[in-house]
Amino acid sequence: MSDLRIQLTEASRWYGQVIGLNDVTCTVGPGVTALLGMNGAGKSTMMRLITGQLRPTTGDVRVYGHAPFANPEVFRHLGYCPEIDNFYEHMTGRRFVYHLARLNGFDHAKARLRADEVIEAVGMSDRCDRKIAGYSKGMRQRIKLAQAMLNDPDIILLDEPLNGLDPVARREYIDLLHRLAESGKTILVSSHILHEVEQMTRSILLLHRGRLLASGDLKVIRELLDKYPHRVRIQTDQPREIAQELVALPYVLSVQVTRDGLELQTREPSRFYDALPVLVLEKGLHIREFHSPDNNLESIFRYLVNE
Amino acid sequence: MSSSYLYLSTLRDFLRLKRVLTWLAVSLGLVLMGVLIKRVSVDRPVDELYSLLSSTLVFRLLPLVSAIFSTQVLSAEIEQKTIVYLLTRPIPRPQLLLMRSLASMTAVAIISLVAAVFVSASVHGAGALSNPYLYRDVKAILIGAAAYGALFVFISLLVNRAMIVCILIAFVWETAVAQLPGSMYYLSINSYLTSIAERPSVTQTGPGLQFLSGGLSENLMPTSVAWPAMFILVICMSFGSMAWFTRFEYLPREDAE
Repeated sequence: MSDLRIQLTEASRWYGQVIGLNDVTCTVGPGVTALLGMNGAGKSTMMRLITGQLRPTTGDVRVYGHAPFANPEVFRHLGYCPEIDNFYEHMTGRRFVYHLARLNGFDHAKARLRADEVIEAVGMSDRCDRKIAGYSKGMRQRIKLAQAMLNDPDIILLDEPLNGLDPVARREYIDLLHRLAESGKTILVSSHILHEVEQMTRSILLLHRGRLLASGDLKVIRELLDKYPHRVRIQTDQPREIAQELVALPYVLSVQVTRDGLELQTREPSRFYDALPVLVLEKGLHIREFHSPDNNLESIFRYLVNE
Repeated sequence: MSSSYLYLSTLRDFLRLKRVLTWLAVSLGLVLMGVLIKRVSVDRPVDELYSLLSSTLVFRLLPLVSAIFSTQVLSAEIEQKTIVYLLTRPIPRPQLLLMRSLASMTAVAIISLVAAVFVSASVHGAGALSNPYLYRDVKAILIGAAAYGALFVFISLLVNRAMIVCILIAFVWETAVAQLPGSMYYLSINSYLTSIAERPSVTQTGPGLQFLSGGLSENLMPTSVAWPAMFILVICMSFGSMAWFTRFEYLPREDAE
């Protein structure tokens, strides 16, 4: 089978007068790829096109060379974890996964076995006999992932899978994705949270207002970002002492003392973040908190579209 | 493999205890109405009384149950958004729709047959099952469940808020159109079912009951026309639905708006 498991060629999708996806051309191969974009960027539309729930208005979508719309052959290779939080609430988690396993074509015995395997893989063995109506958000996300893994698919699509998960569950979920990717699966994960994506993969597709703004290694995006001055806000009781040390660094462009600390601009944020802890320790400086207002998706999009 | 499971699991869902209890209560209500009508119609022959109750109660219940269940074949899944789990399984869409429709038709037939037996019991008491007209009604109920089911599933694919449309058809259209002058009665499924059931004609009833039982019209088509017409309707509607469903795009309502 081809390594280019998912292919979109000039794919657009309109909802009446509104465009959901605009002339997107990209390919997705094995490993974890993140579909990154703000709410309304077109992530779910792209997922629905790939999972054959929608047809492109123009252009072409292919999964293993086949048009996925209403194509059972494609669904044999594909597992889909939708964003929706809707289930057959009266069922237990085990019954839900078993039910979908039967619809995948497994007989009773194989469906039970496979349901148990995937439920164990997502860490729900001890809670799968409770009704889904009583599940927490995290448990619901895990059960959704379990049903997506039933047919041991080559391609797994996860639409905002980390929503509602606590930090420990997130870590476990991401670890599970890495294990699946290592076994050769193609995993496409949508998210609107940059740091979440950074923990999952370096390979991204960046969507904004329906258009594919950038694709490739996240590092490339980071470097692109680094062309612009990167702001860092530091909360401290010693703003003047710290400012004095920071202005001496060659990659710090400016430092401004504020009411509860200082704000600086740097052209090389990675070097700055490496240097800051060393400086603090060597000089015995005291910092309460620091963060960057530019370290989010909105600022990335602002830079990339030159707004 | 998944076809039989799909059919049985959908049927099990349609016949969940909570739903069955509701329809059982409705059927018991019909028994009560049957007993009351029997009390005020002491001079009427039992066969004629059964015919009156069957056409007034059972064959009004049949399209109503069908309207509710048939729109559940897809609409409920769409409303709850769980349809995404069905549409992304390796099941051909025509098969998915056909199996779910068959399950709905079976559930409608079972509920209507139970109602018919209850109504027969209200007239014949312990001899309910030896009522020969009950067996004629069974044929009409079976083909009626298929015909209404096929029609309502097709409508549910075409229009939003299909349940309202289907209930209007079940009550207003099916009651009124069969009794309009001319050849309009050919446009009502109930006319065909009346022909298939071959019930004895009912005389001397109040105008309200006569209207509800379809007794205002003397139009009755031959059984040889009714059977093929119903089969053609079921086949055309079912194939139409399957063809339409293969092109159906699932779009959550908030996105569609």
